[in-house]
Amino acid sequence: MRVGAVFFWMYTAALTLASDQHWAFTPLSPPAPPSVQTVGWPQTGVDAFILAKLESQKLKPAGQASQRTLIRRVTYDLTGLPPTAKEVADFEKAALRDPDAAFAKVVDRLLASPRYGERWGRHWLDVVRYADTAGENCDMPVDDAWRYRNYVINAFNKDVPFDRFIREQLAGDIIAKTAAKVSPARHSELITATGYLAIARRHGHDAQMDHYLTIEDTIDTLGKSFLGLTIACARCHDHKYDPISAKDYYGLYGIFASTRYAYPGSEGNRPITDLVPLQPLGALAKQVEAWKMRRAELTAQVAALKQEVAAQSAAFTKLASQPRTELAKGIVPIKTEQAFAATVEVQAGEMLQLTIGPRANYGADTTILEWQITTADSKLKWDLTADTLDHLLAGNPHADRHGNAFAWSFLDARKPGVLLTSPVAAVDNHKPLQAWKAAGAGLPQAMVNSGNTPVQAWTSLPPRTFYVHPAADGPVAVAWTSPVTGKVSLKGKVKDGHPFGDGVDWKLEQLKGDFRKAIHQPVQLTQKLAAAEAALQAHAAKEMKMPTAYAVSEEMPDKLKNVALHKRGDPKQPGEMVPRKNLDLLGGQTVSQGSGRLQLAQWIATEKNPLTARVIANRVWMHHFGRGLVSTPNDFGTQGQPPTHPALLDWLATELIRQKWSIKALHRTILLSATYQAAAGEGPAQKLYGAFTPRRLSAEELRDTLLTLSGSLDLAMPEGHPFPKGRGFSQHNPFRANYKHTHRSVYLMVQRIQRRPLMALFDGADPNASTGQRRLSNVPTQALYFLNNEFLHTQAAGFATALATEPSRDARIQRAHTRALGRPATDAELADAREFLTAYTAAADETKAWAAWCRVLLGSNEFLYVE
Amino acid sequence: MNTFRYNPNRRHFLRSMTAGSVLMPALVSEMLGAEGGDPLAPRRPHFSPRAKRVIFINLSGGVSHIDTFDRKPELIASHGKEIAKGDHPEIQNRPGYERIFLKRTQWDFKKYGQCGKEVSALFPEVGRCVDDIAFINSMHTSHSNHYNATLGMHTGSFTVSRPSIGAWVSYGLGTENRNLPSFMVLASQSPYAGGQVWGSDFLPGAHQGTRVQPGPMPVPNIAPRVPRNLQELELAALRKRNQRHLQTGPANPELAARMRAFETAFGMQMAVPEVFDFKAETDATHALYGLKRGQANGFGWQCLAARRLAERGVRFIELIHTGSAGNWDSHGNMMDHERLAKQVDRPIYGLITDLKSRGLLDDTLVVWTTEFGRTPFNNKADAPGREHHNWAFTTFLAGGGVKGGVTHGATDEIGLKAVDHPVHTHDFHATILHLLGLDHERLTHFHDGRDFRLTDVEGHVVKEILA
Repeated sequence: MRVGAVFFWMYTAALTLASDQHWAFTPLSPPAPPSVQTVGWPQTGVDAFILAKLESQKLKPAGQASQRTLIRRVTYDLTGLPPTAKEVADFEKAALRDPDAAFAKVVDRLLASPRYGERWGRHWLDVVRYADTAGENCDMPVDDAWRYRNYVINAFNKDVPFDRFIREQLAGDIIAKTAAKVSPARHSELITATGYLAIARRHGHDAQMDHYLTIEDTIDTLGKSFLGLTIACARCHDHKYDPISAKDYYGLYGIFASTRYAYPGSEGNRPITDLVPLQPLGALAKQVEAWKMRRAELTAQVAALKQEVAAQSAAFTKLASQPRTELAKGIVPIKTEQAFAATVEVQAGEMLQLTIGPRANYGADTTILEWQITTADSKLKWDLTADTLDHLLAGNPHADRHGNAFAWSFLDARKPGVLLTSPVAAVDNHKPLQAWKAAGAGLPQAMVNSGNTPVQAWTSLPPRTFYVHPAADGPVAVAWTSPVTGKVSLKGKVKDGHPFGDGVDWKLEQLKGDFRKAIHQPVQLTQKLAAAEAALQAHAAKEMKMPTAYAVSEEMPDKLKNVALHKRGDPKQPGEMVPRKNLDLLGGQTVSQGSGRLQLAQWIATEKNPLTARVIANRVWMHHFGRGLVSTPNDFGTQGQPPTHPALLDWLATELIRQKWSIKALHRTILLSATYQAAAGEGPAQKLYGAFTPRRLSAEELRDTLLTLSGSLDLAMPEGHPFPKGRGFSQHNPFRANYKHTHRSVYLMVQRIQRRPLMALFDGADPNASTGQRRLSNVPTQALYFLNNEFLHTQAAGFATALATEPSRDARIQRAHTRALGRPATDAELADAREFLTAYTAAADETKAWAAWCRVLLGSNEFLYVE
Repeated sequence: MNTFRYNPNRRHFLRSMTAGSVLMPALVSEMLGAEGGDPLAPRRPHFSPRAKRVIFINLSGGVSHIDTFDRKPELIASHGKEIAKGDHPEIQNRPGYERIFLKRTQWDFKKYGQCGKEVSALFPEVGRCVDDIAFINSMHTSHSNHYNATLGMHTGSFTVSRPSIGAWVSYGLGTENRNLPSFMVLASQSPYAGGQVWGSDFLPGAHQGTRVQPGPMPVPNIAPRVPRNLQELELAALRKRNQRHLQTGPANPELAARMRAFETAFGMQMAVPEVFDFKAETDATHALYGLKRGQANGFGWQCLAARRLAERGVRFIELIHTGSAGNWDSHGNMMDHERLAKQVDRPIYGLITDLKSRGLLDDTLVVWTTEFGRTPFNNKADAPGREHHNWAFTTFLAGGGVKGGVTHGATDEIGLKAVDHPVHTHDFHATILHLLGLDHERLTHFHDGRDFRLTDVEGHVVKEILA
């Protein structure tokens, strides 16, 4: 039993305390779990403390919650999502054999799920008042804020020991610089962690001028988040109730005044500055060097290809510019066609070119071509349509069916010897239409409709047909380069393909010389060149986006400074100078290195500091039970509430330290207790954790569950938000947006000067000040949401659609209950549902009836509350 | 193991009493209310109030005091005279502002009413109400930026966000009408500092302002998406489900309160559109507000809607004229004031007159304000605009226990500084709370280890304007 392990554990910290009266400032006193009379109920140390208190008041604990209640409770608790039907069934089955082992297995599974960090990371983001905007007068978007958000989620998933988590957030940048070996990934993580400080709220028209308010916000959040102290009270005068002096306050102030915060820009001072590169400068220099070398390589490749293309094209043009023999020509008026036929003596490599030109008007010159060629002995045959139709884009020149890669080519005939170089995979988005066109130009072009049906494009284009379209200023051509020497007979057709305008003219010519090599190279080269140019461009763009974090760094050594106390909190009334230092309450040491952040982190993240472990242990307890052992989680000072179970709190804090600050271990300690697994109840026992207190789903849980039930939740971990590139915001025209996506709610964009309607309505965290515990309201405007909200209606309809795969009405009803409530419907509920569906279908229709019934289910108290 | 707990108590008695009806009668809702811990339940003020509700008119951008209700003959006489720069926050280190000159008003003033208050040609209609109005000509505030001054005028804080005055009033007094939110903000555009202006911050969320935008969905989620008969079917099914759940689980007042919230929400769907449907208002009333029949926008619409909300017991109604852009911020040209004044002058007159004729002005406090004033100088005497000015501005109060026909405090001879009985925004807030029967030093909320107030550690009630 794990209780035994701490039984003799001794606390040895020697800590000088400014106050030996207030409980929270005294050293942790690790008590042994008390002995109790009740037999059978207690399972863990937690239970002993809870039971002892109940017994002392002659109260009895509730029995254990049902398996279904339990798995719904713990799944929401650890992941913020409902259990699946299978998870419920598996647990119930396993629990038949060994309920404790089955539950422990569920806990392990949930703690290992990436969904865990999304839920518990959000709890921490509440405490650190996370937002994606800066909060000054135009509420500037902060592009890199998301990195800190994802860091927090990942830290919870990886179970980063909480003391390390504190050190990273306060001084990750210093650790990254001083640690022996830091991988690039680790470096980036350590830099990102200090987003904890950088996301402090910005103020005013020129946020640099009002930076003192940002430091005040930092100190306020620091005190509440790690120490449960309202240090901010000492800004204007010594704290009235707690042993925190104004000197303490300005001792911390100097530490943050010696820290450089990433600056998001503001109306009065726009440039974004001091973002922190994710990689160290040395690595950065290496990266830049590598980048430059690659750029030189790519630039050279492009130049070489350009030269080659020019040379090849020149060869083709030169050959094609020699005198030609005209074999036939004609004019095709609109809605007509002309056939041609000839017998020609050719040398291998000679070219026969069929050229189609515009007349006065070129707008409707789509022209159908057919062209067959046969050798005199009829052994070899070529057919333009059949040879190219199903794979036009395979090449230009295009192979014939005999393996001659150069046989057919498609030419921009406005000049001699120019190939059409750009492939078009779907002309005007019609998939069967493929074409070759001149680079950068719409026309001329050679095209096929490879499909089996006509395509309604600019005109109706018949299936399985080859087309050309000349340009406004000149013709297009198809050429056949002969692989053979001897007599060949040609026949073909030129047919108007778009019955408007004034038709086209055409001619058939023979070109002497060997074109086989000359036409074979240019297109491939052009494509290579395009690829090389694209690679160069992509590479150049990469440098522009050097990854940075919205984080902090140390000021230059000559700017590290102590500050003068601000009289009455007014920076314009300086008082005496105060050295950078720790709170007297925690030892009062002065800073000896840099800004002092690393030392501050060490003073806070130590087992010698009784507040840190107590505060986080209380937060963990609070999220599991809906209220803290200390009901003021951000205030452990004399104005906060004393713990209901001081010994238990100290035992949990001690356990946390013993388990090397593992939050996941603390979860197990709590979740495997009988206390956590107790049935819901009421009355005095419930107030002392003798029965479980049902809790309402949070705004995030509500939205995520709705998306889950409708099958539209996207579980990927997104990065930033689609913020506008320009930052011309002003107080007259501040940044405002409400981006939508279907990722989990923790990834929704959080703004400081306006809240998301869903978050405002269902009591989301305050993005401007630390939220220790959300204050849940219960108001009619929330009921209106369930009645009429568009998103809710959409998700309910989606849920109804998802049910439709079930074979019967009753099966659908059952599935809906299992998914939404984690239990099957009772007979009475089945009867009610049938009755409702029948009545609603009669008044509307069946689809609407199912959606409406799903809304009823989603509107129910049982759905919205976890027992 | 789930144990079945059943306590035949008052709750169950009430529940069974209403089990047959689709909707719980309002009476029962009230009876259950006390148990549900409703944050909006009506609460007694600290002392006998003069006003029960507030209509808070906020003209965004900074309305000039010297061109409206604070006539300065000396400024007119000294037009063009150079004055010392001093430490005015708007012209420190500002290029082009090395020298400054006095600039007269371009509007004539006229005496109005029995009291003879001088009002400029920008507000002739408001001029007709001066005998019901207490002007404060000695207002001053702590910041010369719109964002900060607007935040200060609403929350008492010029830097970080704090609860809005409307949220404080809702927190202090609760609501008289559960079918409507207690704090409603009629604003077609977003103001400076955005939603923080009506936020509840650390006060319970139920006290945050509900923003109303003219249009088919004035309040979010108010328009039903299914016909009423079908919605009743859904609500009946929901109620049955919830009742069954309530009876099988441990007693939980929250769950009962949520059931009640659905009944209220159902009612709101009717009540809210009814407020914004002006069909029953006469032509004469429309004309009083300068509103065309069927018109559903403009400041006249906002004012008439405000009267209807006041009649229905909404505690705090804010009307924002314009927003963070296209507003009274007339740096470029003071003639903008004329265009904007035309939009609000008649509706404000209409509102005060209408409230008075219906007997509502006695317990409705009308507040007229802006975030700061405008400079009586500029860098050229013939500069067409005026700059931000937090050293002096004018506000007024009417009805709800306020003396009519008085002007409190004064600026110096050129309207530069509030010199006689200066009134800070904190004092302004203390006075509004006082009229509502709330002591600004006792209306507190414990948060972060201390008690917070709307007026921070400042604020004096302006007793001179109390009737």
